[in-house]
Amino acid sequence: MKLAQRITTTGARAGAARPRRWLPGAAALLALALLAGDATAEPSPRPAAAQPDTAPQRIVSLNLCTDQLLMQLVEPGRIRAVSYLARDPRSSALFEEARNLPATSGVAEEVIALKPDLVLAGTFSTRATVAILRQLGYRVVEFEPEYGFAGIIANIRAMAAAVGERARGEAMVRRIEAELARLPAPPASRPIFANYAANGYTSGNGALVTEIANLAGFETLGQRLGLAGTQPVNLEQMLTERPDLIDIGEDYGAPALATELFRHPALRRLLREQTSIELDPRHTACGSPLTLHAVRALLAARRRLD
Amino acid sequence: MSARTRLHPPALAVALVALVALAFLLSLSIGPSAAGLGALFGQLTGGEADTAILIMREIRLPRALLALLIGAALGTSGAALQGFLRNPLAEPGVIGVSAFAALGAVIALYSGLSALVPIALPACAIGGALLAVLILQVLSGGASTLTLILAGVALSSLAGALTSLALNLSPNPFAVQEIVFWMLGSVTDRSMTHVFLAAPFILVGLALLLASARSLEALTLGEEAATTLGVDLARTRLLIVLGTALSVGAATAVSGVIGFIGLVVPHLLRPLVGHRPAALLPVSALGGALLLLAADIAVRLVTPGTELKLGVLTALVGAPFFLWLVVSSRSGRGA
Repeated sequence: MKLAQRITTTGARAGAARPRRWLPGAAALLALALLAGDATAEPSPRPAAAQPDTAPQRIVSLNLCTDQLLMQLVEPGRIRAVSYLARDPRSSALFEEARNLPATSGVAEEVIALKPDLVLAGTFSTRATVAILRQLGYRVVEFEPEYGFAGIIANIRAMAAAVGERARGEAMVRRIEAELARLPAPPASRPIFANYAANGYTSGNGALVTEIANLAGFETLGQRLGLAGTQPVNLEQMLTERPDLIDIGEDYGAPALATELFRHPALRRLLREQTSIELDPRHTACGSPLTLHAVRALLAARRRLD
Repeated sequence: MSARTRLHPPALAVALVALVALAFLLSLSIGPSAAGLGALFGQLTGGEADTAILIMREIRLPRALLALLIGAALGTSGAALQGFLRNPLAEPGVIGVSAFAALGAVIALYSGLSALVPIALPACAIGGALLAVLILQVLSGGASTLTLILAGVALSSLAGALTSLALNLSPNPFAVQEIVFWMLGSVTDRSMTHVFLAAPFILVGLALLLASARSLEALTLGEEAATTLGVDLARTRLLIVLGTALSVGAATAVSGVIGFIGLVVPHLLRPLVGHRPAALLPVSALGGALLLLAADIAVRLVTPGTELKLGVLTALVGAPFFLWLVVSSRSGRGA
């Protein structure tokens, strides 16, 4: 619950925002209201859900991770829009569901036109949009990226509370906790798992992939090298450490030096000699109940290595 | 070696060869995996040896070879262009040849063409370099030092803008970040594939440039005098245009633009060979190789982990040098 405390909620004082004396702000409000196709000459952003605990009915999500969690917690009828990334089969595990929903590119104009009563955003993305939406009095709830299952559970509870689906959220949390409790005890020896994404980025201490790998009985290459977060690892270090299990990032269809690195002869040879795995990046890019798929895949790989 | 000493050219060449060999070995022995040269050769038994040999042959050797070849290409083409255009500021990076080569390489790589036909990468870069040299030839025919440099600035900006445009249009999200690589150059994590792609063109280009040395010698007396001495100007031009395009084009195709080597090296070595182009060209090849090997060693030592691009270092040394050249050529006589 510590994470949940950092999640900030605004909008309770939405009504008080109007009489302020900033003229440029008022002009911006007017312009935005006009752009949004609002017929009223006076800007009147008065979100319906001024009182908390009234379950929001017109939810807009601006972030790929909040998109996916939202789609798992709330029926489609209450979602006014998700982000365009949610429909991208490369990034989103729920792209098919998202294709039945409207999508925005995360610009304030689009959001306002949808008249949302709740906006969900990530703490690292669409900062300018979040700032202006708050200024206009919309209720915006922000979510930290998930760096582990504690964060995932905290975000599920926070979002369940924000969208008025506490029971569904708790059921989801219980399923996750039950599966985590069934995991085998950490083995005495931990083989090294290395993910190697474009530009040679790998997961070190504090990364979501690292917690997933640790739960499955692996140490990550980033941990072995003492890296914090997700950082690039040199090809020489890959060859020296010889990770037991390697997950090479995927190509993007179009060439770039970042992904051409995957075809380096020395790396190809290492891959032939060591075991490879292809984790679905959509399960590890965002933390959600779907992240358990990645834990299962690594657990299976761990058993095969023995 | 003070600038006043005129070494016998062979002695200078021998000294440079020794330094290049030393820098080459040093380059091979530096890397994030702790093993040095000695350790690498000391562990030729057991499982470790395989890894050490792999790192040596597939990562450090191509890196050192590319620095050697590309440095030689840049040094020699700088010396040849300065002699042929009789312009102390001429250099592939400054006059836009490298930038056009990078544009050619970017088009070949990011369009996917080089994935189908690997040779397209050096070929397009050489095409770009050739185009730039030909444009410069037209623009600077009989014009002043300044015209050539200004034309070069315009060509560099144009090629840089088109390169950025091409990378911005790529659907790969990482392509845009790679503008830095193409503008500032690097030989990090290149493979033997890149050596095999670039080396033949660089070597042919170097041979053509070196073949022009005698004509350049005569050209120091002026075009008319050179012609009466039996120099075929058209042939000299062809040698230098093709030699520069091949060597700089192929070099840039695998390393991006590395500036100022071709400017600094000939100027430093010219007094040591008595201002004779015939001697300057080969020692500039060695000097260029030495400087780029040294710069590539430095980027690994100065900021290990997050290596600087080579062009950062060469510009830190080269740009003040360039300014000094501009000022001293304005005040009448170069140093």
